[in-house]
Amino acid sequence: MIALMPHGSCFLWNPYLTALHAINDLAIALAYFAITGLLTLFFHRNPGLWMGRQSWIAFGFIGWCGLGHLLAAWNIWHHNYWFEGLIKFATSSFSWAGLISVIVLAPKAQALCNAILEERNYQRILETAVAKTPHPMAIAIFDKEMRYIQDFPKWRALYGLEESIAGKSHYEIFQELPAEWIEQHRLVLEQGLSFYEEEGSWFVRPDGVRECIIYGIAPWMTADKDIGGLVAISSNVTKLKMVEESLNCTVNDLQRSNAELSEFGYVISHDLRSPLRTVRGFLELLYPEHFDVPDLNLSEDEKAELARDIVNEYKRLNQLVQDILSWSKVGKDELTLGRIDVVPIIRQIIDAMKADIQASGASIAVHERTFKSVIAHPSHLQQIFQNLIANAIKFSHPGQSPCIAIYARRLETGFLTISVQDNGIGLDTQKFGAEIFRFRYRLHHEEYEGSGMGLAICQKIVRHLGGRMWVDSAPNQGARFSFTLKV
Amino acid sequence: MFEILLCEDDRLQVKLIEYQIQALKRAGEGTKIHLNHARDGLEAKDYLHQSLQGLTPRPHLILLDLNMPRMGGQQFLEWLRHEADLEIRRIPVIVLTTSESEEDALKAYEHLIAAFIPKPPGTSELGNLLKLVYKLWAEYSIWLPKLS
Repeated sequence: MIALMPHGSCFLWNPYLTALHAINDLAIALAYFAITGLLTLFFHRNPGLWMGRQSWIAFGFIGWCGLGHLLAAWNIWHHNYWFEGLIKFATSSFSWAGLISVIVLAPKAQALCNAILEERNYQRILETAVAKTPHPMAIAIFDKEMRYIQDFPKWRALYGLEESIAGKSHYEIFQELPAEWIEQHRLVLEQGLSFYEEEGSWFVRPDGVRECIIYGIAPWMTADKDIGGLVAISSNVTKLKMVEESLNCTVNDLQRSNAELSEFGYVISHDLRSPLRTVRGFLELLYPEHFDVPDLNLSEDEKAELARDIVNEYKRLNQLVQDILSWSKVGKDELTLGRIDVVPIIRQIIDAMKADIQASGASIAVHERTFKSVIAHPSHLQQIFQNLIANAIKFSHPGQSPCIAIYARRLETGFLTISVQDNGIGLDTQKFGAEIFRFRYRLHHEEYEGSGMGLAICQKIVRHLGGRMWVDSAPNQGARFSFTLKV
Repeated sequence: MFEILLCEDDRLQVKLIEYQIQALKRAGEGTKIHLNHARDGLEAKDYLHQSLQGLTPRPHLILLDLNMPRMGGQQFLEWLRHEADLEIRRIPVIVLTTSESEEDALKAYEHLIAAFIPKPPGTSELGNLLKLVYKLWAEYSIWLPKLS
């Protein structure tokens, strides 16, 4: 049996030819092994790209090729031709498998490429459409860490950003986002939820401007159906929202003035006619012969009392008409509002009411240092203090001198809270706390005569000036009327 | 006596009604009328509570004004028809008011009032009205029985 010869014999051991074959076979083997190693590393880092059987085939093909060349180099000096042949068999098997899978996969790969191209195209069209159309709507696409995947010029224009935002974190750019939004982003990225905010939501831009937007956010998916990040479409509705808010204010004003008008109508029909009816009735009683009604044969005393009642009723009606007029004038007369000092006005009113104050024996303490200037017109404050001080005197305990304290506190930013506190009969605020400010609401009968307009006027003035008015009290515990005015 | 509870805050209106009842009695009509007065819903409530305890006579009829301090007529009706003791819940109520609003009337009728009458403008109309009320409720109708 003739022994197999090393392959080098075919080269007649020509050192150059032998070296040429040996070096290049080794170099090819080395390159193939290197490719195999790098591929392993690549798939290790990108497990998502592993294609299963196809990847094994590629690995086998390259690996066996490398091994084949290594054996070829070996067999220059040795004669393991069976082994080399077996390796060639393995290589050819993998090559054919590779050929078949390329034939099978080519259309799929083509489709995938088309899909990617189409997707890019679509994305570009979408961005262009959103960016070029002249509406206040912008789109931005984020990765899983809420970084902008590229620059979105229209988005920047919409939110006053000057530098490119590509690759920057959304939260670094907008540092004062509502916590609720950040939570929504988390739910989009972690659980694949989407959100649509249609009511309008306020936030603060990096340049400090408050804006209101409506937006939709949703996850975008990678080819492997994983969440790749977040897509946001938002529309700036600040202007709309402001118009809506001012409309709402107008509607509220209108509703209030409508309610006032209907109360006004009620008063005209009820309160003004009632005294007139009394006057007519009493005149008929006094002069039955002129009105064809039964004569009651009243005594002179009774007649005198009826006459006095008529005059008093006239006075009451006159006062009521005056009060209704001043109530209806609140906010209608164009008084220029300005920053005014409160204390001189209180002093002025106390001086004007000197007679009543002395008659009641009231003591009034004005805590001057607590006051600041407020935005109002002097006549507003005069009316309020005149009414509140008169009430504090009127609703005092019988036989007890009223003690009145007037002071101010800073309870709310931008407002001064002014209080007029007395030690009088007080009231049940649970039942009447809000009622007593109503138009023509009276809590008492003749013993505390009044038109039921004073507090309604005060409240209307305070509301007109943008403040509010309330009372703290309990029966027999005195009352503290407080109102806020802008400082 | 036919007990009427007049619930009215305006002192002079009460006086006017008192004079008319006086005139009726003088003419020999309405002689059985006994008028009681409450100045608002709360006073009327107190009065009715007292009548349950036998301290005051239970009214056979209530003449009710609507617009009064503290507790107005509608609020009083709300209490009377829904919360009050059965013995006083049955008392017929005639609303006698300056209001001519249909809304007020419907709201009051919901509380089973017997009539909603805008106050007549003159004394003779008021006198006639009281006479009619007296005839219908005191002469022709069956009175509420005495409280045992």
